[in-house]
Amino acid sequence: MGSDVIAPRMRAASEGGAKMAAPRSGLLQALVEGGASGLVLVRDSAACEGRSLLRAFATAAVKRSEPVLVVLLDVPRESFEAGLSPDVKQRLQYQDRLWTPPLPCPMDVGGLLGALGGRGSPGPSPTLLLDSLSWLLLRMRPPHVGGAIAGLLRGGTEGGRVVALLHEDLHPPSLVRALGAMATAQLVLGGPAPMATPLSQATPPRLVRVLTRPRRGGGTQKDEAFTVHPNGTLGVPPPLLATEGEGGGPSPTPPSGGAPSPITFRLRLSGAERAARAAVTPPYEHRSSMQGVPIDPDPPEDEDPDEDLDV
Amino acid sequence: MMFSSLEGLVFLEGLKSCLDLLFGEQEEQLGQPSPLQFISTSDLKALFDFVQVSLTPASSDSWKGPVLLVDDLSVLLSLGATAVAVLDFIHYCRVVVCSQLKGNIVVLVHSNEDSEDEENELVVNSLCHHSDLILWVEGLVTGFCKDVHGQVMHWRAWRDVVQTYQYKIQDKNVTFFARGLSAAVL
Repeated sequence: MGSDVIAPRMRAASEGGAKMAAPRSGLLQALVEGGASGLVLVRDSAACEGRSLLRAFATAAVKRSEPVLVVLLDVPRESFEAGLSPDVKQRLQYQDRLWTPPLPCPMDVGGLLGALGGRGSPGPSPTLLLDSLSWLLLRMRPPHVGGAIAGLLRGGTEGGRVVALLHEDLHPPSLVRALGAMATAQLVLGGPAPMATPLSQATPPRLVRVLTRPRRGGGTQKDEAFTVHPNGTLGVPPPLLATEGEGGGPSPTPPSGGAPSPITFRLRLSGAERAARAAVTPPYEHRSSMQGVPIDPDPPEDEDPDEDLDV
Repeated sequence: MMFSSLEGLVFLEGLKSCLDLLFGEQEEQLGQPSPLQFISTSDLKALFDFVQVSLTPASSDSWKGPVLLVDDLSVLLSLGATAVAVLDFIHYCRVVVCSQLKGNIVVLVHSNEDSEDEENELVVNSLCHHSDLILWVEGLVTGFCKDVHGQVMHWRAWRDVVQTYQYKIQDKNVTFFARGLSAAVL
């Protein structure tokens, strides 16, 4: 059912080529459906997982008949492919040396990256999914990881992509920023999305901030809502409760430390609330017509009424 | 640390063995390295080998669905193991216990939002990413209450839905109830 819903959007995206934002499909959907090349970072946290987006990338690439290599460092194969359709499972290629005996001892990071270097396979735009980049960063020096990723991108065919899952709460912000500078697109996972209409879905919509860096000029930033169905297909729910255009909107604010935020109120105003506040007449401009007594604002105070401060 | 199955329990009393190892009171066991030799070598492989040997079934019909309980993982950090070594140990245990033996691992760790122990927080956050089920237990922010001892929040991987229950510890069991619905209130 999910794939039937997605299919027309996929066709629209493929007809649009490399256009980032089609009129109907969002930026995230365009990226998942082949609009991204180079390094794509999926930044999640303990409270907002991003592995489901990786599964969406895998499913979309398989539907485009692209070869997909999944490098599993965090989870075993059965966890990653749980819920995916048999057709998608069958066509995914795996590199999961860390999950199959004999286990490497000690963790053979160098050998693992060496095995990935020979991934170049004939065919259209291969997709490499790295689950996760954080595993490498905890065991290798960041410059070596960056060099390895650059090597992977150089070794791939034109238009290929490396989609890497990054647990950003495991690394210092400076390292996350440096990796973001290498990426052509970043997907920052956020919390639940406030929807205009209540939805009764098994997978509630969530927020993602999409940061793209075109080859020329500056980048773009947009907040979108999305759902990933259990079979790995991407679904785009109805518009958000507050849509404030690019760069605005409710920001993904993943709770830190894994615990949900105890705050039961919002600190920010939605667009409608901000407009309603602007329409309210300030009390000092209000004149009562019932009593005919105008209420004027207080005159500005003289800072030096006695003129004794002017030395 | 404890390993359990339908057939029984296997205990490794880490703190006691640790003291025996440190003060030389433990006798050599036929050349077998101590599971806690990481205290001197910073290598948790011997501990993993002990887990693997203890849980590997001797016959095909025994040790179905083994469970590895680690109480608690933070102590390994206190004993000198690095955070990455602890994560590697858990990774190997997941491969053997969860993937091969189709069992489960239950790990106790301590965490505090104001904690400055970066190594411990790294382990806790990494475990959160790798866990299928997370139980976050904490006291009431309003302070001590004799009828409600705390609250537990749990959420599953793949779904960002958090459910919160309150609990009361009794002599032999624990009762859970929805927030504000303790017997004392009702």
